[in-house]
Amino acid sequence: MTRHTGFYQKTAEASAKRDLASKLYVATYRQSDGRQAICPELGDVEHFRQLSADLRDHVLKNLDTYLDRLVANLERAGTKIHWARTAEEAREIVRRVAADNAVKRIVKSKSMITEEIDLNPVLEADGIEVTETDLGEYIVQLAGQKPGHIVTPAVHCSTQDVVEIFQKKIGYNGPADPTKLTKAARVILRDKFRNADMGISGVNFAVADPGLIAICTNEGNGRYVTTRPRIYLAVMGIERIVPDLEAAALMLKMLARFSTGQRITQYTTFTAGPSRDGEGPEQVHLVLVDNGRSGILAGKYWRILRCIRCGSCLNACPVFRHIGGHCFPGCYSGPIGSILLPQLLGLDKSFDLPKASSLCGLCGDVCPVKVPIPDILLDLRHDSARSGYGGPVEKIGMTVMAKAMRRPWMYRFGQRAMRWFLKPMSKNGWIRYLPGPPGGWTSVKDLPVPAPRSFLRQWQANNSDGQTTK
Amino acid sequence: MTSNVLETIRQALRSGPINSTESHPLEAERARLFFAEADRKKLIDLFAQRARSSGASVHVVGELNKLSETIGTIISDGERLAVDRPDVISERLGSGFLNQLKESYRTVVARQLDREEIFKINVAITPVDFAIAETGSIIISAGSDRSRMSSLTSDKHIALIWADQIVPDLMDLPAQFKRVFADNVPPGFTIISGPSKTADIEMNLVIGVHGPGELHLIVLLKGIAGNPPK
Amino acid sequence: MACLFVTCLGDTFYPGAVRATVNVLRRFGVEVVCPQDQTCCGQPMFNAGYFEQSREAARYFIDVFRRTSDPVIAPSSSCVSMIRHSYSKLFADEPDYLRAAGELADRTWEFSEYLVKKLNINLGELGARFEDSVTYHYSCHFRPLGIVDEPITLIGQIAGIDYRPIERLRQCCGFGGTFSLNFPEVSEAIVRDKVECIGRTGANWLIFSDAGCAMNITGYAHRAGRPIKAMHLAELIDRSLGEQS
Repeated sequence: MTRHTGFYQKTAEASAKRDLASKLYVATYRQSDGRQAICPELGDVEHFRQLSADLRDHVLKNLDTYLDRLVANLERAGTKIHWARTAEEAREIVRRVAADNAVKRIVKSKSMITEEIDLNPVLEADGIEVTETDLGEYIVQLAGQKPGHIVTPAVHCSTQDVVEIFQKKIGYNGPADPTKLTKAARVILRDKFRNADMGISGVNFAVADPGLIAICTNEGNGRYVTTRPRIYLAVMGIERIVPDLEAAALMLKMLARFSTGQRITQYTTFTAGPSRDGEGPEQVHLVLVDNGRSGILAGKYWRILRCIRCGSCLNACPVFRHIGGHCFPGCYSGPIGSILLPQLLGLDKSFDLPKASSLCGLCGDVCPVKVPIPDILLDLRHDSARSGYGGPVEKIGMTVMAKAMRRPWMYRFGQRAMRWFLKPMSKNGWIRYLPGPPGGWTSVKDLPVPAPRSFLRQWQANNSDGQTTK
Repeated sequence: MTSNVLETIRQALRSGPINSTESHPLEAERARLFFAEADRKKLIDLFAQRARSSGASVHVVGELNKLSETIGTIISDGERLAVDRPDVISERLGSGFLNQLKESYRTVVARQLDREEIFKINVAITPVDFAIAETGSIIISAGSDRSRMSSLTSDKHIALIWADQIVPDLMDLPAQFKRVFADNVPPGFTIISGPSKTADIEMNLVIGVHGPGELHLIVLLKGIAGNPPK
Repeated sequence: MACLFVTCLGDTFYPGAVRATVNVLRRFGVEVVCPQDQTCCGQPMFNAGYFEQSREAARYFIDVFRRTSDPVIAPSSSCVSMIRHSYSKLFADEPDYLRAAGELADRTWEFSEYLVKKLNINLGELGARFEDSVTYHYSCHFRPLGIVDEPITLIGQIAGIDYRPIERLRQCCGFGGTFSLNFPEVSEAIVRDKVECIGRTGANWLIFSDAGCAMNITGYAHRAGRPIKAMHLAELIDRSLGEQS
């Protein structure tokens, strides 16, 4: 039927893993139930979503102005600004800052963009120890895996999984108790904070006026990473900016409520620049990363850039709940991944992603900034169809169907032919096997047989003049 | 390099489907949930309720000796106490209060600790720049006269909040920022809204990860305040 | 007077549900006409991204139904959603059909919303009775149509009925049209959840509003050896009102 990119195979395998599903259920239901419980305290939630969408659109439409302003203000505070057109340029910038400062140990606060640019391996290849300090990221790093969710990276790990990882990698010999496991990680990571040369984080949002970069965390690692090492380096997608503190306040109202069902994260840390007073970083660097974003901005899908990476769409999605994040060919997963990755990787390499949706529409309903995800999924499917990625058979089938739908005689004939053709494959009113493309259905479900006479045929028989009276 | 990325953005905006607008659409008041409250008690109650729901302990105190008593229930024997911005604390509560702290506990001034000693404290006691009722938050900033790390490395953070420092809503953040800092943007500041926590292991809530596992917010009522906050 | 929009799945797989829709409307004094030459609204091609092909079917659909100005009623929320929401996207660049689609959208209704919002039906006043346990599956397309709990309101008006709410009422059943063909394993995993939720209600009947959902749920349940008795909301109401007087 459709030519699969390899993504399909991974989803088939993942959805068969019941233990993965039960772990995903716990995390996604907890977070989406939390969102549903807390958002009503905003009162008119739709009003807040619209305010937020309008704000993000305004920023995107004036992105150059606000980036200019941000850069000027941050530079005045002593922050060093770097621009990176590509992931490779971004990696090189970070490597250079590390090399210039003889950095040997880095502590990282959770950052999706550093996953996107694949930063850790190049630093490690330079002989630098890089430690992820967000507990979920730390677990995933020890396990040698990629994050499984954009907000809760260890979503695919049960407590027992964590025990096994900790036993193997840090010599843990305590019980399967989340508190004890966390304390074990705390001891090790506290040492890492103490001795790190450089802290790296992402940016939840930058504030153009008065010139601040903000990160939202719960554990305290974000505060360490931005304060303790003598160098703090933040990596930021160019679209993650707001004009001023008013706008920042609105984003703070929305982010945690939609993300995890908290009112706000325990810590929101703002940095303007280095401290020259013995506490706090001596150097602050901000790496502004394009990596395809300006291309998105120039195209019809520019609204994707409204995204604030809250994970709400992942938590609402019935598909994500069964397949998790590791199926996706990039660090962004779930509904946002399905529309963002094709922009970053090219639709020709990822056309299956927008198809992995039942179009239930929940993602579009829950997004705090109203990214029109279902609409974009449909448009990407259209782009894919027009480029022929569905293959010739699918296109012919759709074209024949369209012809039939314009010609009642052909439509009825098709119905009859289908009924006739399926008869030998049916038993007791159910079809157990379909050949060819529709065989996907019968590989896992039965199909009810078509009725012996269609409604319109019955109607015609009962009303032989073709019109209705009583 | 600068001109490349910024120029690419400008090109994208010129050539793409977006129509540029100048005016900032956000009327901040349309995002406000809580308004200035004549009844200060209601504001304090909201602050306390919101702070408690995120795991902080809130103590509302009206008398100086009650304050010492409360602190006594928080700090355990032998714990090292780091005091931040003692000048601000003694300006408002009197030097007697500070002396009493020094007599009762192993006390140091946070900012005088070096990069290793700061990791050895158990309790930090700090004033705040302001507080927000909507989210039960306190704001603490960086500066040469204050310590960012003490309220991070300690196991217990005691924050002294004057009732007058509490504003209703996150939308009050810009005005408070201006009031406290004017044009001197600090190198950093943090909004603290509860004790350190995580749910990363199978959504099990664990309190006290890297930051303090106990956050004690002591709201000092008007009668106890010395000079009003700056 | 109302114009019946049969829907291709209703026509082919659930003519009984369409029949019941006509019966129920007639009981409430609505004269029903049914254009014989109707086929399909074009949704299958639209959802698969074949917009040009979908437009072909949609133009024909509009041509058939613009012959009258009567309300158009369908026993299906996904088809109505296609008319009310997706036609404006399909015909964004065709002003004539865009206008016609808009006019049509203003008078196209899903069956349960027509009964509740337009006819203000109270089944209780009409002696509706059905003595058995039922649960209800809420189609995803109800949300964009602004249908909140109309079907459940109607069910609640039937005397003797034992309505068992399903957990996570608004969760998708995993049909999604071509999604169920392209990603059958994931679709199966999603519908398995739905069938387990249905099972946990202990209800004897599943009431549905959309044929696609019904085929998906009952098809999986039958394969899994746990067949589910299902009927369309119109069939339930028709039955509950008994023999036509």
